[in-house]
Amino acid sequence: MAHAPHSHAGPAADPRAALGAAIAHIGHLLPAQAPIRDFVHHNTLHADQHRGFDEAIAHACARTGAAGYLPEAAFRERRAAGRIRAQDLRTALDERHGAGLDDVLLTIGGLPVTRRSVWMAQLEADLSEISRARLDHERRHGEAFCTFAPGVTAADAARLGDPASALPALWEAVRGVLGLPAPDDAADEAASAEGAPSPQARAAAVLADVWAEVEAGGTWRDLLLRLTGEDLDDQTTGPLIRALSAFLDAGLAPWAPPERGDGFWAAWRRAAEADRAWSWAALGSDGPRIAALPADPLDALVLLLDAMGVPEDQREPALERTALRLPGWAGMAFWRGTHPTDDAQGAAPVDLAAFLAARFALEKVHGDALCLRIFGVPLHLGELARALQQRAPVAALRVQLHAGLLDADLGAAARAALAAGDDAACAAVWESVCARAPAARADTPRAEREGWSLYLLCQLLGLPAADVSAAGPSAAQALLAAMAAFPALARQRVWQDALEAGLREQVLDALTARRAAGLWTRSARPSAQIAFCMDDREEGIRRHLEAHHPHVETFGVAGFFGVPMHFTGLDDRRSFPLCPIVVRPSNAVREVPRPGAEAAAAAHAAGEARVAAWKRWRMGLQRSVLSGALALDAVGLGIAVPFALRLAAPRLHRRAAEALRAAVVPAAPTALAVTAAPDDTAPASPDAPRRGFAEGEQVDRVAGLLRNMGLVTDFARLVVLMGHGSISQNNPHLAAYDCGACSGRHGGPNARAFAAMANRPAVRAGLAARGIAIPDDTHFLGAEHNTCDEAIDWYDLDLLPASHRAEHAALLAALDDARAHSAHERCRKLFHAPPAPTPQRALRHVEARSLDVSQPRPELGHATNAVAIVGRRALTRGLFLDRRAFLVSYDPGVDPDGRVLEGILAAVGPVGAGINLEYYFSTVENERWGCGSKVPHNLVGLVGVMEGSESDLRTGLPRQMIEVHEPVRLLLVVEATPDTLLGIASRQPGVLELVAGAWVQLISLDPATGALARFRPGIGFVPVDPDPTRVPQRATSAEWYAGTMDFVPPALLTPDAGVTHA
Amino acid sequence: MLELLLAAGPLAPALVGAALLAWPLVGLPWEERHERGVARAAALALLVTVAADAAWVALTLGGGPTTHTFGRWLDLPRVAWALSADLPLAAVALVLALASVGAVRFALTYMHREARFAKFLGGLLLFAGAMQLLVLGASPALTFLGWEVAGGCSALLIAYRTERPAAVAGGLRALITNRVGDAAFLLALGLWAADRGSLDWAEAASVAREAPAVPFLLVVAAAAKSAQLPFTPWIARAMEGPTPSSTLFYGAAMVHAGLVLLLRAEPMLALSAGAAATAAGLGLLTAALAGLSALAQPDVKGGLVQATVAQVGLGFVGVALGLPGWAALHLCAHALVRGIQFLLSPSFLTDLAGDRNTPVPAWLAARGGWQRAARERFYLEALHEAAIAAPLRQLAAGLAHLDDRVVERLSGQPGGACAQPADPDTGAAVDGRGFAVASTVRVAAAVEVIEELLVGRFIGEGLPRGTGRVGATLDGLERRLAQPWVIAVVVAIGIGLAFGSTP
Repeated sequence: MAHAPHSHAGPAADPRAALGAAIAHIGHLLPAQAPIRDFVHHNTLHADQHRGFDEAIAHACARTGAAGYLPEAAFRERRAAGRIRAQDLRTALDERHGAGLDDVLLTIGGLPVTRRSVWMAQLEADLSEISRARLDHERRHGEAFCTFAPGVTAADAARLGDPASALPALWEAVRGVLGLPAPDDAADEAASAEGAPSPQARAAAVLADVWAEVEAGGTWRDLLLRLTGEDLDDQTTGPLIRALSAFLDAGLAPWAPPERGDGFWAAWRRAAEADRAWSWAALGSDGPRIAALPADPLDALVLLLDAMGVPEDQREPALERTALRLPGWAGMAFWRGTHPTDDAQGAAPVDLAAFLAARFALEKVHGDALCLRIFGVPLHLGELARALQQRAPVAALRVQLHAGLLDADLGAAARAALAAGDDAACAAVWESVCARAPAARADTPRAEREGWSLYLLCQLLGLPAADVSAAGPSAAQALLAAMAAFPALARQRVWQDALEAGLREQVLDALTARRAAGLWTRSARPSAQIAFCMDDREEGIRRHLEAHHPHVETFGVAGFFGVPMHFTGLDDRRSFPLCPIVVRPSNAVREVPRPGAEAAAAAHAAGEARVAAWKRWRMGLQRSVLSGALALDAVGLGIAVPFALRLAAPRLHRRAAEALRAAVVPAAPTALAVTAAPDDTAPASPDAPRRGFAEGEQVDRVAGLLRNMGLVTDFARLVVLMGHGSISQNNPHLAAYDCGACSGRHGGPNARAFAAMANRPAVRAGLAARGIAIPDDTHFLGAEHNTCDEAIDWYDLDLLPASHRAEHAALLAALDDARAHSAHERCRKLFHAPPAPTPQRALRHVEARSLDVSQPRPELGHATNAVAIVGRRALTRGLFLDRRAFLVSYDPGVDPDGRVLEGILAAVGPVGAGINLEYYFSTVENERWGCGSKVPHNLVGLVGVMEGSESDLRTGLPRQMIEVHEPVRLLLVVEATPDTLLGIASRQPGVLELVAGAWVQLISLDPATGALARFRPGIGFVPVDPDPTRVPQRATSAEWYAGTMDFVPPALLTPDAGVTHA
Repeated sequence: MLELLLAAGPLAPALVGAALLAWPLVGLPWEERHERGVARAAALALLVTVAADAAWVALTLGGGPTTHTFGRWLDLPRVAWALSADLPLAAVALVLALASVGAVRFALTYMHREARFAKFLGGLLLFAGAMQLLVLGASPALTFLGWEVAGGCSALLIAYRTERPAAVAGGLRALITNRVGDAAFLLALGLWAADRGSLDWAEAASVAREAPAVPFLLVVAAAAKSAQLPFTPWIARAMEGPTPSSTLFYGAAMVHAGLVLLLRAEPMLALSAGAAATAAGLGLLTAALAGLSALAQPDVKGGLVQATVAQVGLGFVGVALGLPGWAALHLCAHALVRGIQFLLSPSFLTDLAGDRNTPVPAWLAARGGWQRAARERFYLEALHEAAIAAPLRQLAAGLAHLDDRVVERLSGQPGGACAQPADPDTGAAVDGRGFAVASTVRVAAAVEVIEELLVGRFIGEGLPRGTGRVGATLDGLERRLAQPWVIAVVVAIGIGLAFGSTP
């Protein structure tokens, strides 16, 4: 085939540069998920974050066809279940569409009909069109013509009368006012056949429709699918996925493609040239043709787009739509291309341009073959259009045949005529098609659309047949117009607001009730102070700990404890950044053997090497043939025994495995090298991180965190920093359960580093100089909470002074209690948990659960997140928040100018909103924004998961993680005045974007008065009037959550008060 | 009592599985709490199977082969309801039962809240029973029964996610490729029955002498079921199913069915050098090519399944070389280890020692062309398409043309362009003749009434769409099954059976 001339240096804008810019833009529309080991939660629609929530969703939907809100049916289920109340809907409707809602549109039979009544009817019931077949069924046998529609109130039913007679009459009345023909009337079709267009004109119209639809949102694959019934993707995606996954492989396959160094495009071209499959697929000459494409992928793309006849203004849409056909793989190519320092990218460079060039080359080759076979022209949009127009009836016949619109006999005839290549026969069949089913005009009302909607609406408004007929066609049109003015997207927005309004009211009521009942104060020196991560999963254990052991005080902070660092564990081969994803650390910390423990460390390293050798051997067993066979026959049956134990008795298996490991890998005492060498005085930067922290940096870090959480006086003798992580089995999405403030890893090392720094006398002295006097008898300890099995690991316990051991033992006992109660609370939502367990039994269950290799829901992760509260713990201490709240400790009393709060919000806002929005989008459309069920997932190339043997790379959260989630935007309550918050927003563009764009709901809680004000974008802060008397009071959490798997509203825990409930 | 236990071994899981598969027919909605009941029934059924297999091992441990006959089935040819085993086969049955226990236990948790939980567990359990029959059936006819049911379950669960076209296509491909093996098996049965007038594995040796084609046909059947060359491609596409079914079917059990058949037919192979050489050759070639392919697959399940096929190939070589004991041991060890590897395939990231898998030796790593060929699984799929599927399609198209021109006219079906449509309510306006047309019209009218009453009222519009998809799938299946070679083979078998039954 002849390529169109390639005008590289034309006078117009350089097409190559234009393409490069377009591709850079397209990259941001793709999923931005890193390779799965480094999974970090982020706003799924990050590329549109500047637009604001509703606008961003509208854009994303237009681009991808995916939903941005729950389907209306799901909202109605929640409405039926009481999660959304009628007043929530009214409030939401008022806030969105307040003006003119109560204008009387028209009066029918003396009944004024307002916009509000029509729109509420549209919300409460599904008034959308149904299929013709369903309508026919309803009319013959269905209930829709003998019982009232769901949602019809008793009063309306009384107005309407006996349904058996009223409903058929109403239907006739609706038909009458809309001018619908009688359904059994053959004149229906005959009448509309009058003045029907000629078959030739109709064929042209069919083609024009197809062309317009494809131009509005499709690719030539869609065009060819509709014209030929053959899917180009069947031939292009498979080879592309196989080539790309092997190329991207960061170490899964033992045998990776060699010669990856010069990039994907070069490697792919070389492979295509040599690939035998091409010649067997009867495309013998295409290997060389692809090899002849330019060595630069952008040049190749320009050439290919020219050859396909894509006009300049259509190029970016064409690239974008094609990239979005495999968003996961395209996104991974883009991620790699924009992370040049990634190890795998260094070994095998790939970028989005190379991906698109390969994809377009495949489409061109296979599309040419298809188009030449069927239309006699290559895949060139202009030539194709000409070829189609010349034989319009044939093409139109194809379109209708492949769309399944032809009756069986006509379909058979069409197939025969098309197979014979007989144009005259095709034209004859097309004439029969036109004769049998005249084209329906889109603008005439149809029974299943306007008729059905109006029929239901009249029921919901309580309009009987006589009134409808009397009001006449103009009233009917007015009602239809009112309905059309409230389309599905607008309704979903109102629903979403309503869902959030209910929860918001409950939380704000509860906060007010807490304040009214008296806030907790630090009356004596606490026995211990524990800083947990702000994570919603820690809310439960903190609540139980404080409820059972009131002398313990807890805090919530971002789980990297203000110590951003590159960390290398004793057994790690490379370092990982432990801090929020937006921060680039300037310091690096290593775990090193304690001085004097060199021998133990050597023994430990030797043991680790033995374990690694064993793992390699076992891994080799997976794929090698001869050595695998010998090993199998020697030990194969024996391997089954420990596995059977693992399935049947996971806790016993773990004990045995740990004992074995302890025997093979002796423990070595270690320390974190947190302190930099004294002579290391050069300024540290992200590009040249310092080894350890300098003295001044240590004081900065420790003081910073203590001020953040408002702990500057009244230190307990034990202060614990409790990082967290989650350990589960057989779970590629492990990182998604870990600490979001540590880039999806465990926060224990940060806690340990903080404690090590805070215990150093030099640091204490530096802190005292800054006004933070820590008593000498205060000792800091680092620990890590496993949110999956509730275990707590402690660091450097051997350095705990003997004087503090008794206190630590008491704290351990208290934490054991809290762990068990936390497990108990979690078990109520877990299907495989024992029914009504004791706390100890519940703890055993979550332990076994985290070890269960067959468990795709080891824990529920952040699936409960909904609220973030930044303020003193006293505001929430003694409130049951159902593990739904990120709790960030902040004391406005030590932050008069709001500078501390500014730092907190700048970090917490993106982390909290990122988690919340990832869960939101993965929930509202799991197949598109999430990665579907875990069940068919197949790990590929160490970069992500596919479904089955070949599919797009699936990004986002699996269904098992989100199925209990309630998709609401984060309710961010901050203990600060509106003025302070507005000041911060004006200085922090990241915070402003989230708040003004309605990605989070911001509430100001006045530190002095407790007054609440809600930020409404475009309006500003408006006061909220909560009612604390609505908040239920219970003695214990368990009493309140018992007996349901669903979310329960906040409650005030009043251990000594009796049970009251307003 | 013992007899009862032995008979219940294959039956118990099969019955529970069939009941679960039939659940939708009962019309009761599926609820989450039913999962607990399924767990109890499955545990009980598999306990029976494990006990029965343990009894087989005990029975065969002391003496030689053991047979238990429960009743007569067919007289033309003579087939009894009987199970038999020697020690290797009893051990294989026990191992497969244990693998089923593991996979079912895993699935009960893993598949929680999946919309088709009952179908999935039903498929697993029915399959587990079928495999028992396949291993222990004393007659090739019973082996074939288990063989067919297992194949059906396999296709069903590959296509578990019916909403995904690749899954349905993968299931169909497995089914179709296996039809070749099934046809060979059936033909062997026909020849066997024609020769002996009965079907019993005990007379394998004499059949091999008198009907020398039988061992060859059985080797072909075994190769298809165990995805040996030249049939390998279907199994790569079988990875569409959920992890527990991939485990049981392609890691632990069904992929070994061909090897089990060879173990049963081992006395024949000992007498038929040609068949033994064929089995050894196919096995060796598969071990080499699939073994290389395994090294180059960039996905976990893809690599595992190629390695599986390679190990089964070694088993073929073992049987062909007259080492059935070793082959059985290899089968047992491989089934368990591979099953575990499949179940733990999501753990791959944490199982790695360090950042990446151990690379292949440098001399191999540098061969780009080989790597590409191995990653593309030696282009067998394209070869299949070009060498088998495309010519068959052409043949089928030719025959369909013949159908249109001759058969349809003879049978009186309405055809041709633009015929008047039939009125389903009266059937009167149909311009057609003959019983076939009239009865079809009546059935269609009845179905329409049922649909109106049931579907429209209770189920909404989901079912018609779903059945439409199923219908399209079945249609595709039917078209493939109606291919001339399938018909030819079935006719040939029919003739074989007819001759065989003549005393």
